[in-house]
Amino acid sequence: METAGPGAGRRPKTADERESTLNYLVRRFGDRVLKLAYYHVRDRYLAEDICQEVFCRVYKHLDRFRGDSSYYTWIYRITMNLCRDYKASAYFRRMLPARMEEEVVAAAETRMFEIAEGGEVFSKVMDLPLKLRTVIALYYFEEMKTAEIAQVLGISEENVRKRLCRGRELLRKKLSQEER
Amino acid sequence: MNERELDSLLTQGKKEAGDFFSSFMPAPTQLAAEAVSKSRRSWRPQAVRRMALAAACVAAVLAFALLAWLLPHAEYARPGAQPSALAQADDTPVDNVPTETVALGEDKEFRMNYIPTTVRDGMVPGIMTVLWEISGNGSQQMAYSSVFEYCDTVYPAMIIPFSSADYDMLLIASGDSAHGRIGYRLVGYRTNAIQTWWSRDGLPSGDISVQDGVAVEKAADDSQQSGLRVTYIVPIQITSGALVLPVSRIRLGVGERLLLIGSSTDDVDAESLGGLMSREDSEPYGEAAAMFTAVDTGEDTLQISDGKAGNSLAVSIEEHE
Repeated sequence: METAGPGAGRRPKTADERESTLNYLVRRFGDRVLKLAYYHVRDRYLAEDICQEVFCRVYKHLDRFRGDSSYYTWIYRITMNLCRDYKASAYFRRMLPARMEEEVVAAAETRMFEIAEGGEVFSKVMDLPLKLRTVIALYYFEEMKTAEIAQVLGISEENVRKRLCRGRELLRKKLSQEER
Repeated sequence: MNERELDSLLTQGKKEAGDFFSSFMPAPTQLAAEAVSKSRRSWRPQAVRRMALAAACVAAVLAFALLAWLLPHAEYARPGAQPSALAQADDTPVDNVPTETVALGEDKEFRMNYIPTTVRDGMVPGIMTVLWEISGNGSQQMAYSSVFEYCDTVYPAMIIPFSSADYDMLLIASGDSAHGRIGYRLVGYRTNAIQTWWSRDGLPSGDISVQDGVAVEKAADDSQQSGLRVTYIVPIQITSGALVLPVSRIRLGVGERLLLIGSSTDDVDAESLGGLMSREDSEPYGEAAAMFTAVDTGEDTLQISDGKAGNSLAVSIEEHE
């Protein structure tokens, strides 16, 4: 688990300190936040918006960061909460046909974004249901440990493992179908 | 597709993801500047904030009143109404999945999970068995998984001990209680990875156990006098170039079968020296397997070879009681 960089152990107080800490956090975690957001919402521009909003909140609440978790976990949790908010928002719902069954919505989501995603395996992972693809992507693409994923997603490690297993099995099925 | 092949594809997927994201990574300085600027734009003088707070309170009271009127009429309040797709996408409560720990050797310990699979996950309902290899530092790596479709009952894992090989083998099984069927997997190391050596699904009135060091499969079969077909399964491992069997002697009844499973895809060449065992066509069992049926009583020996090394298995055949 990574811990904070500058300012670790004490809260940044002056504007310069806050900006310096933010710059460090953006450099350190910006790309990971963007990826996590993308794994969740599967839309490049929405992910970029979320990423910006995440660091906006980080900047606003830097002085409230209690240090009882690492910056890394704190930022990831903010990202997850914003992703959930966006998916439940009116904007996101407008993008998807309303009142459809989960499978139909998932299929519509897939059709909407699959054109942009290159790579056979990557796109197959992205076609997995949300809760499975997030865990698979964080574990295999971002090389996070199950304990870290559990902390970020706010679920138990046991549940992370369950999702990993189910995700792998479903992915195996999808990739095997492709082979045939 | 085995675990290793899937791992390899996921490594490929990681590279593809890297290529995909490299095209739209924001410049850190720009991102930080925008975050600071946006954060400052959202700052309001205290008086404005107080007014906004008051307005929000009024709006909340109105919304609450409206909600109180609407709730009894809302669609989702009707009994039996389906939750929305987004609500369904939330995770189910975590139940403790059955777990046990097994060891296939001094340095090979595994944690086994039996995870229910559901239609909601896009899978056939059943049980997925997963083996996590526990390393010295306590971390766990997925080593093997297999799905038992339409099964709802977990059977305890059974070990087939090999005193002369590096690792023991494992027998895992699950049952379909509604239809009285079982499925099982005989798993062990093959080319440094845990793989399925032999598997069966949907065995009617089936039973699988480990007796005297070998796996014994029983399944309903009308063609048998007893109504049961009994098959003894003997895996053959290769250790330091030698063929290693879990036992050196086995007892069969006339009509019972003996299945030899080799550790590679090469042919298992086995021959009944006493002629009391009849070899069946290998095709249904794969090139690494040889199936024999005991045809007469007496003492026989199966001479086994993989072209490089050899071993033998003494077989005592008795009449059925």
